[in-house]
Amino acid sequence: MKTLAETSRIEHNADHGIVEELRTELNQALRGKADVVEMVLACLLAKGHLLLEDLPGLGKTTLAKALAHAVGGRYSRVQCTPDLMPSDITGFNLLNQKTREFEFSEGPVFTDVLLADEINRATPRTQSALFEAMAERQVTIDRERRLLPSTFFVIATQNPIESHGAYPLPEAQLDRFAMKLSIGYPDPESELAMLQDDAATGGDNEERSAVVAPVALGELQEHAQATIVSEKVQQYLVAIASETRENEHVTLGLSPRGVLTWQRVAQARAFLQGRNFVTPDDIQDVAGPVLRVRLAGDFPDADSFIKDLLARTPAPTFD
Amino acid sequence: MPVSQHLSRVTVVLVLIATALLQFALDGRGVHDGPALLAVSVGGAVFVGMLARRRRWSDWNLGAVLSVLALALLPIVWDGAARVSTRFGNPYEVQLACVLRNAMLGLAATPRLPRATIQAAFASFFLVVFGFLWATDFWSIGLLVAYSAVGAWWLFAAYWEGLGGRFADSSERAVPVRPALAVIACLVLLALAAAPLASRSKATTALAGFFPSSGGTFWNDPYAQGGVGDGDQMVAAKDQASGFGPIDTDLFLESEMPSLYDSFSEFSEAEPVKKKRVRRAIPLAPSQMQSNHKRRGLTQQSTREFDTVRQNTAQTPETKDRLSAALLLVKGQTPLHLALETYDRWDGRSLIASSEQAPLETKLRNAEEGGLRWLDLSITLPSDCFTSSSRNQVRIVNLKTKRVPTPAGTRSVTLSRLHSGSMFTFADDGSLAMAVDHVPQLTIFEFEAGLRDRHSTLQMEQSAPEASDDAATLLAREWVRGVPAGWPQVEAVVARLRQDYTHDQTAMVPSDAEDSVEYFLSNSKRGPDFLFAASAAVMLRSLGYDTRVRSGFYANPDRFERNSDLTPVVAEDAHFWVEVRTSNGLRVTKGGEKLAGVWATVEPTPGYELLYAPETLLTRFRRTVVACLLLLAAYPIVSCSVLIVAGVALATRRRLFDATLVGWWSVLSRGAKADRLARLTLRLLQWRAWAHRQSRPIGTPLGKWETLYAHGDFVALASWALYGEGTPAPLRPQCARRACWDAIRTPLPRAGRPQEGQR
Repeated sequence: MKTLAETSRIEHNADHGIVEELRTELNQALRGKADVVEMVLACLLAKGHLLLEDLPGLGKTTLAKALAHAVGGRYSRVQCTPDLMPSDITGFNLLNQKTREFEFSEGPVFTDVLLADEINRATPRTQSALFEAMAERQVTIDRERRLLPSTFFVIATQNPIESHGAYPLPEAQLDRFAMKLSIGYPDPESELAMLQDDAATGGDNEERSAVVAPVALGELQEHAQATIVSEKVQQYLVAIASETRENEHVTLGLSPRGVLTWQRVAQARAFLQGRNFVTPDDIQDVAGPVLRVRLAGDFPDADSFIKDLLARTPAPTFD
Repeated sequence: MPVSQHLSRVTVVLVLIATALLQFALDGRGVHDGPALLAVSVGGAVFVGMLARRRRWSDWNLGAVLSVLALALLPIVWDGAARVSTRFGNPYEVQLACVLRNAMLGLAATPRLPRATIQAAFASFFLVVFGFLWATDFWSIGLLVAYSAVGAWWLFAAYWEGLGGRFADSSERAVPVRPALAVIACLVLLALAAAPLASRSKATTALAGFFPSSGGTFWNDPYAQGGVGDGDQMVAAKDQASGFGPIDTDLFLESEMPSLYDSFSEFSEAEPVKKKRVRRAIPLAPSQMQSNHKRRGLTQQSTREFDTVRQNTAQTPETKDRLSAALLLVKGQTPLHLALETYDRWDGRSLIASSEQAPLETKLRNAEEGGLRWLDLSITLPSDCFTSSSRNQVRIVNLKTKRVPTPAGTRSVTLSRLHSGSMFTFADDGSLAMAVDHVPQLTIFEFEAGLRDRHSTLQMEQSAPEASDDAATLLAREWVRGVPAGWPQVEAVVARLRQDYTHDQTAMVPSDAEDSVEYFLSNSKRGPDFLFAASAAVMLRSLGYDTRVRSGFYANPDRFERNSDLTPVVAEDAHFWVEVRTSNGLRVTKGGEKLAGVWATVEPTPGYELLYAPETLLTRFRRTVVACLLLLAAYPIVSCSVLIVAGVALATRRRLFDATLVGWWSVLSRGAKADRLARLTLRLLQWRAWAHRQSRPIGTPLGKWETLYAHGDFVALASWALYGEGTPAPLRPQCARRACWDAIRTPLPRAGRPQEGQR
């Protein structure tokens, strides 16, 4: 008869086989960006949503599509424009001429992975419709509530340099995203490998097979959330959150929802590292992407500010 | 919430002004070690500021509290050390002011701590008030004006800061007229109120009723500072004298009592009262003499004095007699030996007074300060031994003598309105005396005397020792065996007497004893002070040193009365001691003869102390260092060995510390489970990093600590031990021990140079 620890270790090993396959799949799709892939996986396992802020052509769509294929779910893409209506995302009731009854036509939100491209070009009204789906994994149409898959995952993108005709996302709505990432340009070796692959395949992307079924993804997410967070690590999180609220340069500190999200992402990060407990290293590893989407203030560089914030707050060791 | 950088800078300016003003005030009061303590305190504040910046203190943690507290308590520790090592200290009010100043400096150095800047500003205000009340120089007024200007600016800045964040960005700021007017009005009122404080007498007049007085008013207190009122305490009379007392006044009451002062006016209604038995007198202007037609009270007790003004009342209050058993009242540093008689012969039973001492040359000198005229005695004290001087007042109360009780080492003497050197003369034994029948009651003498450095070595001339073999001579030879000739031998004899013999005023020598000194030295070993003095004199003479016995009074510091700042001397304080003649210094007699060597006081009686020159803590420290160096030079081989061992230990201190930690780990890790082992190893590694100045930055977790880059397994184990309670260990026990051992035995990488295998 196996002990509890042995059973846990076997489950852990099985999970990590899947995680490793996911990681490999995404790294093949997005070359030279292992750290970004790690964060995307952490976001996925933490049941969060991802905001990608980057220039065009850096692989945002590629990443979203690869992720959708890897998790074996449905994939939808919405190109946000100012004339995009909420019903274009959520769906609408349509009168069936034959049956003389209204039938619901699902919008692209009814999917497992949704890519909302250039989300800041949609009107606030349309953005709000999407945010309900993100926060509560449901949409309400004609007073009828329709549930979305539990593994529903949104990857939204926005272009940081074109602000004309855009509707910047308010801070309160940014809080719905678990993290904000920038992919950035690949390093020369990765770019060279990408060119060689393209030349070899003639530009046709091979159809990749699913690594994990949506049901298995749900189990992975549950296992990730079972990662232990000791009280001193939670106190560390609270201390940093308090610091963001009391800092004179921060106009909007970390919300309780933000702290909860941070803990979940740190749990997923520890899970991805093969650990079943969270350390202050995990908290710091995901601090940049998690805080970057939430903190607003008069500091010139968010990354430097976050780094300084972490350096100021004592990392716990002994009691 | 921390204040702005601007406000903290203005606060620093306030603090510096307050510190300077207080220092001027303390210097004016002759505070001991003032500049040295200030330098150390400012250095300490700079250190605390650097520490606060380095540790990024933004809240009151244990380190911040302890640092500021240590800086604040530094003056008390300093003063305690000075009292223990040098026997000189400062009054408690000065210590408290220094404590407040240091706390202010510490708070100003840590502006990021909550409310530290505000508290520093308030402390500076109190210090400026205290300092200005104490200060007597012109600069303090300038500093007060500067403080007022900067203080007003500080109030404006604090006001604006309080409004910070309450305005919309587009709103325009305007000068707040009403608060500004209120501040200006307050400053004007403060200036008006402070103006009379510039002069103490005006202050006591202006503030009469607000402070307790010397008496005669509803609110009076013997500890009061102002002289308003007509109570029991002594007040120097300016317009109307109400009694007699030992106090220096501008006005003298007509009396039949013997006095050194006299006046005659052609317009006096009555015949002047002729003094009996007084040959010489100091003339006074008629305006200084107040006629007296009724009996006035006589104050002999040592009450507090008030040198200011009296209340203008139509009727002069009657003061009662306040008699005292004190013979003298001494003002100034004690213990003090006040000599009256000199004895230079001993016949085995009695001390015989000298009668052949040549009187010294004297010269009247106008002092630059206070308008006093001093009578200088032609004595040149050796400056290498007599490193300081003191001033003492001796007030005659009940002592009836024509001789002047003179402190040891006296160079100058004066009394109020001294106009001629002929007021003083010398007795047969060379003691200072007055040219009157006896020194009248309530006469006040002031002396300036040289103070000898406690550790100085006087030059001595030794004549051929006596060939006698009496007990005293043999004992003296035994006591100085192996001691270098000169002053060390004198000190050796005195030290043995003080150490091995008991002072007992009631222990008398039996009448059948032939030689009192011999009986005292050999048999009783117990006796009164004159036996100690006689024995010391006999023994030192037998060794060939010029010695004489002096008698007079000992102003005992135990009798000091804090209330009056005076030390009464009573009949029980009559005392005998010894003086030895040195070979340095010079005395000039009235005949123009130059005599080499001055008399230095030694105290052979246990329980009595000498007054030495004050020694600063820094001097004491310097002397200790010199003594250590001399000790090292005396034992060169041992010293070199110690220095080499110390140098090697210093050079390899970190390796030694590492080796100690590894040994410690080996002992403590035996039988420890993985989690305890990991915690122990991590703690020791943190100590080692601290010793190597590579402490883990507070915000850096274990996995990102440069020191542990090369020990991934240990980091995983330590992380598990710290944060993974209840989860399986990441390593097997043997592997865990190996990982810990690798981490503890591997030398730390140099700072900034990560080892190979950095993750």
